Amino acid sequence: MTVVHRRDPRVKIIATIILSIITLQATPVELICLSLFVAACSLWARIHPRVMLQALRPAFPLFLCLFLVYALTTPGRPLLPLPDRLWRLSYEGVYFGCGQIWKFFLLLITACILTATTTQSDLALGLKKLLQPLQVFGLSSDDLALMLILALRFIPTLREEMNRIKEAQLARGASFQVLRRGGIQAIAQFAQSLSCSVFQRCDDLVAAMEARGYQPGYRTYLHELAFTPLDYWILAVLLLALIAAFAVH
Amino acid sequence: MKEIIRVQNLTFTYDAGQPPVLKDINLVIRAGEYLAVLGPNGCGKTTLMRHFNGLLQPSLGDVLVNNLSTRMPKNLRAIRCHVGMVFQNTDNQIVGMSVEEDVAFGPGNLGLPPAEIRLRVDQALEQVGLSAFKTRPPHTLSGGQKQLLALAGILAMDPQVIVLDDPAASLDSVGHQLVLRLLNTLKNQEIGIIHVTHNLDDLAVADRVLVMEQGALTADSSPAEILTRVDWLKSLGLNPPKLVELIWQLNQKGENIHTNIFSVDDAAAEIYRLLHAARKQSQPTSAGDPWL
Ligand SMILES: Nc1ncnc2c1ncn2[C@@H]1O[C@H](COP(=O)(O)OP(=O)(O)OP(=O)(O)O)[C@@H](O)[C@H]1O
Ligand SMILES: [Mg+2]
Repeated sequence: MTVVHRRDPRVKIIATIILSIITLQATPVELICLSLFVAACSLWARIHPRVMLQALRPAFPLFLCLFLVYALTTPGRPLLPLPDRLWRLSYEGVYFGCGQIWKFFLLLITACILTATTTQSDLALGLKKLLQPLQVFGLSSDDLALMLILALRFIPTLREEMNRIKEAQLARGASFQVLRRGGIQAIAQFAQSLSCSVFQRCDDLVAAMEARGYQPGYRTYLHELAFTPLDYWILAVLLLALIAAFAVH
Repeated sequence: MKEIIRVQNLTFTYDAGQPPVLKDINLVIRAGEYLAVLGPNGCGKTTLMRHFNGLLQPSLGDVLVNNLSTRMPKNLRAIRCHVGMVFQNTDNQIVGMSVEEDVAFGPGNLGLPPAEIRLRVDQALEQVGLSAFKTRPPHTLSGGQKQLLALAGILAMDPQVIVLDDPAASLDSVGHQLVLRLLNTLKNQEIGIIHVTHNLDDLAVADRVLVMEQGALTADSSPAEILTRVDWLKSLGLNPPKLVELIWQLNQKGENIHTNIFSVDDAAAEIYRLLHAARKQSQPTSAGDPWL
């Protein structure tokens, strides 16, 4: 548990949002400052580089494509002495592309720090508190938070269920190749079994929740959130930074 | 003793036009009673249990919990505090992201302040022996531990009666023993237990046994009385405890052994008595003992 871990989840969510806004309209110098700040945060939070890399890896191909689009479609001075074609690698394009990709990475890393230092239930509780004003429109933020928690809680169950059904179908002679290659029938059967069991589970879950006194609307929680003085300072600094960023641009 | 649940002429049908799943059931359950419920698959045990806390509404008749009718939506929350329920499939009743948050779900629904929730959660986890697993994600627990977790979630609501729908279904024998032992301590704390089971060995701890057949209540008496009716139990697909069956078979062969014997100790004493008597009979002239 580092200082970053112990911050109120609301502060972390707000910080992530404000940092994202500032990042998206940052000049190169500001971008470097922001990068240093985010790097300091991740060091502070003692997030292992491997964890970070794992979270970022799925984004690499997408970011490469984005970079190529920026680099090839931005008009400007040619970077390489190549014959003129429809696509041309321009000096400005590469510069602009690098900047954009850098920003996207920074956004991802910020989000990664948020999720790595906050438990899912704290995250849900923080969101609940932040969404409380929606009550004006008749939306219960307690119910929204519970929905989020249930969705998250069902992920491991679903994964187990999928494995179980796959094994059951394999045991009854559906070949793995067919499942893999995407035989329509096999997939349809698989989806049918899965959705049946998911509906059954949801039915059971609703009964169990009702049996434990659940009724839509107000409820209380084991953990209550409380701002510390440090949290207030962080919020103040972030707000100032946001105002400054808007004033400058 | 104070009566907690009263079932009056309960008849229930899932789909209109179908034959009823529960037929004219009358029943009174008192505070602190340990009730075992027996019956073949599909006879309506789960359906009856779901009436006790208002998850299902009677088609005809009434269910009263502490004199509150389950038909009134405004009574439901109070009723569900009084009657806790552990379902057949424990996997599908986990709500929280961690063990302690799952236990906190019930008290949270009651709107209790966090300090009170913390107290109840810690007590309940202590009671079922899961304190060491507080922060674990529930899906990483074993089957038996999930059952204990479900029980803790109910205990945290401070119920008067706990309904367990066939807890043995997803347990090995060690986990089953664990749950049974816990139920026994709860019974000593004056918490009523309604225990649906297929295992006649579980009757040893019960005060009272209900037997259901095809939606009707066909027996309501003491475990000792039920266990003497071995033929009938077998016809329902229930296997009597080995000891009971042994004595029953001996009696079938013409012996005359007491049928209210449920422990190995009692059985040993009785067999010893019989053997002793038999030996005496075969040696009428006991004056000259051949062994001396
Ligand atoms: N949701 C439902 N809709 C329609 N019929 C149902 C429904 N649930 C159960 N039934 C029927 O009601 C009857 C009683 O079911 P119930 O689940 O109460 O049996 P049970 O005694 O709990 O059996 P088991 O020992 O297998 O748990 C069965 O014939 C079943 O098919
Ligand atoms: Mg059942």
